[in-house]
Amino acid sequence: MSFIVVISVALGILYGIFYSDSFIVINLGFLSQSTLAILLLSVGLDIGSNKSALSGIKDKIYSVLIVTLSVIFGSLFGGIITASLFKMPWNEGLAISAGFGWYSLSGVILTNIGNAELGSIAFLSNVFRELITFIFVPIIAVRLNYLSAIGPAGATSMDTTLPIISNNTDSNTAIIAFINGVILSALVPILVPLLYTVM
Amino acid sequence: MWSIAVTVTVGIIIGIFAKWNDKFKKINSNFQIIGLSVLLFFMGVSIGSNPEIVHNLSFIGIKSLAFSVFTVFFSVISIYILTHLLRRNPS
Repeated sequence: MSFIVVISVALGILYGIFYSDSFIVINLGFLSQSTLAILLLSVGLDIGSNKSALSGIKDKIYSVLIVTLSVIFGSLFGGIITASLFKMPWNEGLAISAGFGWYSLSGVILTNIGNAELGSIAFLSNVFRELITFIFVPIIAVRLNYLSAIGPAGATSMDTTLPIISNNTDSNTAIIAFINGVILSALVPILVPLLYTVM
Repeated sequence: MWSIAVTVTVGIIIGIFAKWNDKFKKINSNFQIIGLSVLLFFMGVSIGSNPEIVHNLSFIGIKSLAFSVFTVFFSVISIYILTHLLRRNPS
């Protein structure tokens, strides 16, 4: 699975570099949105057809709490560590890590309230986070446990990385991942500017 | 945001009311792998076709990579430790 991920992205990057004015590049937004929509329908089918996935809500809330709080504090802690390594101000490190993988939004916010370089780092680091997620979810699901496999995804566990989580874990974990993604996505536009300006 | 919630919900509803067998689940699972590869290809295209990202990759790439590695690492470790401390290991 991880191999397929690397090959697909690498081919895409090469295609993007060499055919930057092709049909695919021009209609990229529409194409990837439609693919994602079809994939999410397929993930929904998976969840709905699994009777046990929709029961035990109380148990799921407990799991969501563990996952979501871990991602928030784990990401922010990672942000502080990285900022310290590169002698960057902590507020910048915290704001970048509070993107939780949602690269388009955190990049745009930090370009506007910070500067272009900060915005680019936020954008790229969250793109990398998504790439790392695609590569490591299959490995973490086997080596650690299913809930840990939601960790890398952050806010993207409700859309782009939900299919890979669903495919490598079970329907129960897919639902927890989806709720985790919804909560984190709602927090990104609040936390990124807040941490940048207040800290 | 809304289109995502709607698509997943529609899928769940169809999943609940339709009678699926194991063969369908296998087909659906394989379909996800193909769809994912296509999606990842498109993601690669969006990176490759953006000269700003390609150009800046070496300049700010290391910093960005460090941010993603550390945020992912501590997120995963935190979940793993908590699930073990609280004796929850669903896998």
